Amino acid sequence: MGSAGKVENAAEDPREREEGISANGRKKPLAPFYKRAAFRKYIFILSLIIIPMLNFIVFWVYVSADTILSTFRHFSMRTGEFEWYGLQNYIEVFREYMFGLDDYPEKRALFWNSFHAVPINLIILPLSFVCAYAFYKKIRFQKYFRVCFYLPSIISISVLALCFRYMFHSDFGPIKALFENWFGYAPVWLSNDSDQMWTLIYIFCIWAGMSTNVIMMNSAMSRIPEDISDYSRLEGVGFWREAVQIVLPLVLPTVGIYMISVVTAVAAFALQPMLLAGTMGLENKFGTSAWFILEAAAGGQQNTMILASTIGICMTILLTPFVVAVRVLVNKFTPEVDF
Amino acid sequence: MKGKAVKICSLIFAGMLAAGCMAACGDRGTTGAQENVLTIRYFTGGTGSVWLENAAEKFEASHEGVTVKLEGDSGVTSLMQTQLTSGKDLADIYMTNEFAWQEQVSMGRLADLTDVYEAEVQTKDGPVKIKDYMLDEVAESRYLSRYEGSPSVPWTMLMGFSQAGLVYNEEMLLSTPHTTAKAGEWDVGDLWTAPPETVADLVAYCNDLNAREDEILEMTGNTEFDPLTFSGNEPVWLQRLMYGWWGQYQGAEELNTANADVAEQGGGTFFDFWNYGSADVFNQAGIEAAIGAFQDVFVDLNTHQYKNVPLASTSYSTYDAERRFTQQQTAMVVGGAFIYNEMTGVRDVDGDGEDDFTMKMMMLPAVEGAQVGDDGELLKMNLYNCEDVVLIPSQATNVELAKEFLILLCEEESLLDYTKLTSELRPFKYDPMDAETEDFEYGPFALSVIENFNACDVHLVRCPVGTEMEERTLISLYSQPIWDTAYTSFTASLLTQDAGTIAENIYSGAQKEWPKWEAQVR
Repeated sequence: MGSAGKVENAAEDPREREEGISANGRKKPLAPFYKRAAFRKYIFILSLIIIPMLNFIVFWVYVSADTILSTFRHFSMRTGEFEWYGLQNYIEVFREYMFGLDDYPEKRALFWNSFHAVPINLIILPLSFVCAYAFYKKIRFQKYFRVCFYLPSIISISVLALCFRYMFHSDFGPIKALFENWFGYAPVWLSNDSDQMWTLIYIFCIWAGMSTNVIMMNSAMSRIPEDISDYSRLEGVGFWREAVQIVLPLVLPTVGIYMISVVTAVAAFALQPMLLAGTMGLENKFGTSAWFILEAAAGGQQNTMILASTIGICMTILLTPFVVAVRVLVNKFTPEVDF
Repeated sequence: MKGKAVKICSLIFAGMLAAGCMAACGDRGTTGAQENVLTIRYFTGGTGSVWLENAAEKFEASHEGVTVKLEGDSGVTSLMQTQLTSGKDLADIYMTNEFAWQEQVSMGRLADLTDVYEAEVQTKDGPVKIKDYMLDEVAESRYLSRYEGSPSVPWTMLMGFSQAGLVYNEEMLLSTPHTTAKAGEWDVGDLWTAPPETVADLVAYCNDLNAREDEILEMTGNTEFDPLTFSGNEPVWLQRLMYGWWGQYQGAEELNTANADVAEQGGGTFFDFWNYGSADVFNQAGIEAAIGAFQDVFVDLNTHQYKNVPLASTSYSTYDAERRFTQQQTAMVVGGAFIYNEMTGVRDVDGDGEDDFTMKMMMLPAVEGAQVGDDGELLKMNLYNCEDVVLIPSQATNVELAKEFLILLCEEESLLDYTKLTSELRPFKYDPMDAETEDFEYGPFALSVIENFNACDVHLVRCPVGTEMEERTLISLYSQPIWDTAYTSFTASLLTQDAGTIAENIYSGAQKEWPKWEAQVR
């Protein structure tokens, strides 16, 4: 093709083939739609996205819609059919699991224990920042510390949890032996009514969960131009002052994203309590709603699964305003940073 | 030309990608199962698999061209649930622990086992139908009508008939002297000669063991010792211990009217409970008596702690509790007859090729106020667990072969093999002692299980024995709530509340939940 508007070889002009207009302005018959460039372009795009689209429609849209629909139904063992149940499941969840109006504390515990995920993640945040900053500043032995921090994310969480749990075992745990030597007695950390179990879960979650966040923060910090670090060093800016007044503002967008995940973690908080506590404990002392959902799915009883779905939906309804609020606040208080 | 080749290649790759995504799709039905390959998925643990392997060999020998494929899985219950729901990769037979099979019946996922129950098997007394060969107490426990108005038919088969109670170390018992006297029975200093017969004797035995703790520690080389242990992770076994005392106090086949509160509080007999006539069944006086007996042995209500057990019992898995027992850190363990087989790998800690000590199953000690027979002697009652489930999916590939295998398992020879290899019983009218020959003798544990079974005047089971099928309530058929369903803080309250308060809470919880339970099965 020559300069815009001029056609050097009229026979190869795509417009001539498609739009029925030749270079000399005469009308030509339109090319079939399937031969037009625009159509082909859309077909190509469609061929790329059709499979993930179908995947999304089948495994997310359909499944979610069916799950929501199921929460309005009840399975009758007498007839083997699902019957319309209206809002009864939701009333049960709100009354018994959220507000505990039926005097069964274990149902309320199941719901509200999930919110332990919030303080756990809020504790992880500053610790991750400090560790990531230490690596950014290339402290002594930082390669060794990196391995120590990243090891939990490499090892299978089941193995990690089992090892951690056995450290506190009342018969052969080394921590138990230490306590007996130092204090003369050792608590039963792993009992089904243990007052120390949640502390152990917190310690484990922080220890095992820090590595991913350290990697994320460290990656954000590594994008900071070296000029800024050089400037800080030349101006004699202290270690902590640089962390708080220079580095932290520059990685605030990453911190903001993390804050959103703090809220969403509530809905998925199951694996660590499950692996460490083993059972939900007396009166569901260690149970969470995500754990209940997993057990319901494994057990397979229809009405239990429906109840679990309802709890999941209620959790989503409860958390959505918080997620939106955090997102708004994050957008407001974390400025865009460009280097 | 080159452009055309690129286009053709692109189309081929796109087609392959699309086809690959469809690879997981297929007809509803079994995949992986084959004709004449009988696939059995079973729960590993408990009775183990040796008896099943023997049965499989016999079946293959009698069915030319048929192979039996055994797949053990500790998570078979949830696996089975997934496979029954999806209809994919179904085994022909599933053998698992307690499982809510009634729902599967409603959804048409289980095969009708009438053919199996009506089949005849060979016994030493001649051929007999399986349904008549089963113990009367449980023969109809797996019947259900699929739809309202349809006839009741059997849908699952029972597996084990496992005594629940206390397993004890016989050497430790026989070497322990009494520290208190019992008129007409023993004096201080006399050695124990038999397991405790009453709960009071059991408490005394625990005290006697505590009195010689230092001696036992020196003898065994351990640093800790307690009379009893249990698995805190599975508190249901504590309830099963209490059910035995409940039945003794309340009366199982007939009301124990010797206890005034039994007559006063009503609620029927122990077996009546399991028909759930009304919420009043939870008001049975035997419930309070059972909890009281448990607290006498296991709980110090002053300190709100367990006694006579390791402090860490509440954190123990079943394996932890068994380990403590086999290492002689405890003299008794709460559990079922399956424990002996489950401890196979750890019964010989010193490695001399023999069990370190003699393990036996105790007849459940009698609670104060236990029912007596016409002869004035205490009626011996034990709780037997028969909630294991054997089922055939209706969509299985080899349904008829699976039924034939179940029939084989009910032959007398197979029943004797089962008891020989597992030291447990099956709920059939056979005499396990028929298995003893010149070449085979039961070990002491198996003998104790058999003797207890034969000596029992009433085999307590969680079924409404004596109630006709037509009279069974919907809650009994589909739901079967128990104490901690009515009072969800039951286990926690054992340490903090007295038996009377706990029993009241169970009853009031049942009254409150009763409308919901009824609505769930309507």
